[in-house]
Amino acid sequence: MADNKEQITTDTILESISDGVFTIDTSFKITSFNRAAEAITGIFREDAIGLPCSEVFKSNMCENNCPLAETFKSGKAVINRNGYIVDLEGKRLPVSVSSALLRDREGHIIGGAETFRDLREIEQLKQLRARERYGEMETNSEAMRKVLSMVPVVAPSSATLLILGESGTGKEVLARTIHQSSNQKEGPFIAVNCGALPDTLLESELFGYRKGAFTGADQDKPGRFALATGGTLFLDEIGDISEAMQIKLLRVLQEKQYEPLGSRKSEKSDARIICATNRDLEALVKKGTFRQDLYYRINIIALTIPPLRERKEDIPLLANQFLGRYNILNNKGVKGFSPAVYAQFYAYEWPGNVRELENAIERSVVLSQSDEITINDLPQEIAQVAPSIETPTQINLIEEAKRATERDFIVRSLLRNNKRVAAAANELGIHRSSLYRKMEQLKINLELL
Amino acid sequence: MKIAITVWNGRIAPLFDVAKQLLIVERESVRVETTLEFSDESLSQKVELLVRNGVTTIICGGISREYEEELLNANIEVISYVAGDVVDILEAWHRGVVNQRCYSMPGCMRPRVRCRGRGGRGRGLHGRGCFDNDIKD
Repeated sequence: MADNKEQITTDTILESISDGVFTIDTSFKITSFNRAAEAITGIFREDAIGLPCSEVFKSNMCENNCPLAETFKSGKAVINRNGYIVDLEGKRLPVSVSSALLRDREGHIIGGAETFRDLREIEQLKQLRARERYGEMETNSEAMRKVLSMVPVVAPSSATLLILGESGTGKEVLARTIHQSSNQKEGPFIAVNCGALPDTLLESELFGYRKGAFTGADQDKPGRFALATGGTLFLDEIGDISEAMQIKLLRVLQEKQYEPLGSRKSEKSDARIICATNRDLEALVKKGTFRQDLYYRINIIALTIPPLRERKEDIPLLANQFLGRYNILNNKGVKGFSPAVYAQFYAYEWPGNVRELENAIERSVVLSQSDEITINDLPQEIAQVAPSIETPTQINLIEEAKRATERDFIVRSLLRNNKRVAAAANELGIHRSSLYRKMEQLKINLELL
Repeated sequence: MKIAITVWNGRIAPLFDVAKQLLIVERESVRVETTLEFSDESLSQKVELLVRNGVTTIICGGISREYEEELLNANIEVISYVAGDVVDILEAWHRGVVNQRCYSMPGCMRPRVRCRGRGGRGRGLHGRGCFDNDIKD
């Protein structure tokens, strides 16, 4: 009776956990298979029980590096061995596997237990972090495509670059993308917001200081130029620095040398410099607040990122990228946007550009109570803007609106069908290969749904 | 023309991607000619080895998409998600019934058969596979 109770408790626990668990006998045939194992592998327990575990699990570890075989041999548990399994559609799913022996009351080995954790979300999070760090710019807009087409051209050069664009357009993301495509990509990418620091602080931040240079300087501190050695130094808001700093910066750019505060010795700098500003430098030069020689020195190659209002074709692409990201980061399952939300997105002028769109979507995902973002979830200023009568820009956007609707339609069908492309294609009345093509065109990533 | 079958412990190896041993079998006589050993070759090197050995069909267990695509691009027919004793599978191949459900891995309706082009070259196995839809390219 007590044994029976114990068994029921164990079964209940196994059924309720999110890790996949199966047990095998000593001939590696499956004897139990929990609910999470069914969900992760896509195989029902009645199909799995009695079969060799390798034919159910289909992992890269089965043939050459099996944790259970190792446990049987050594008697020791294997903890968190990372690998992948291949699902029924040929997709690799990253998993972390642990194994242990099963013994009867007398201590005889009667089999083994393997638990496995689906690492897809963790992998996706890693990718998202990597994307934030390195920048992965995609676009549907012709204007933006022109800018991005310059990346492989300018990246290998060591010439100073100037990135222009309104606040929030993604100047730093573009700078990181250039760094990642450059010859010094193995080196560091160091970003400094020149507008955020007063002169004295900026100087010590950029050039560093020697011990005793000023009160409190009790040890040498390398500046950003030194830290960026062998890499890229990104100087944001360059239009906001004082004239004194402009002179110092001009010298570094011309002579590739600088002196840390309190040092008499010049240091060499080989960092590639990328400057950026949201201000009209030419106008500042005319006004006399920005040195003409520095302007010419940094304006060797200039890339201008168009504001979001001039590339509204990118709104669906960016919106869905952000939706996927914040769904994962907030553990939410919002599947898409209502058509009315897109109408507001197109009507709004986005003074804060891509950053504002990202913030709006993050907020909407956090607040959303349903599986769709509605106007009620949007920030007030976006929700309240009146979709105007068609302007020439909006007429050009009809195609984009159609794409967005089509995308939304396909995404819903995929989610309804548990992300099974064949089933979704059947429901939509198109061939599976056509659906794959459409998904590629519309940048639908099954992993991020 | 030859078929290659991934083998592990006398059964079809669970995953083509990491399979170490393959039997090379003459298509018509279904006679095992030789074995092929994989060690640390890259995907393209593996495909090249198979092509060099005259392989036009692979019979295997699970296979990831990228591996399957590379084999298909080399005009190798792929019969995947097959499970069972190698001898039984060879016999099923000889009888032209290897695509039946009883030879499939769990969770599949039947083994998956894919090849490039409409003609096909197998024993009337094309067009049906792991899923109940047309999967021929």
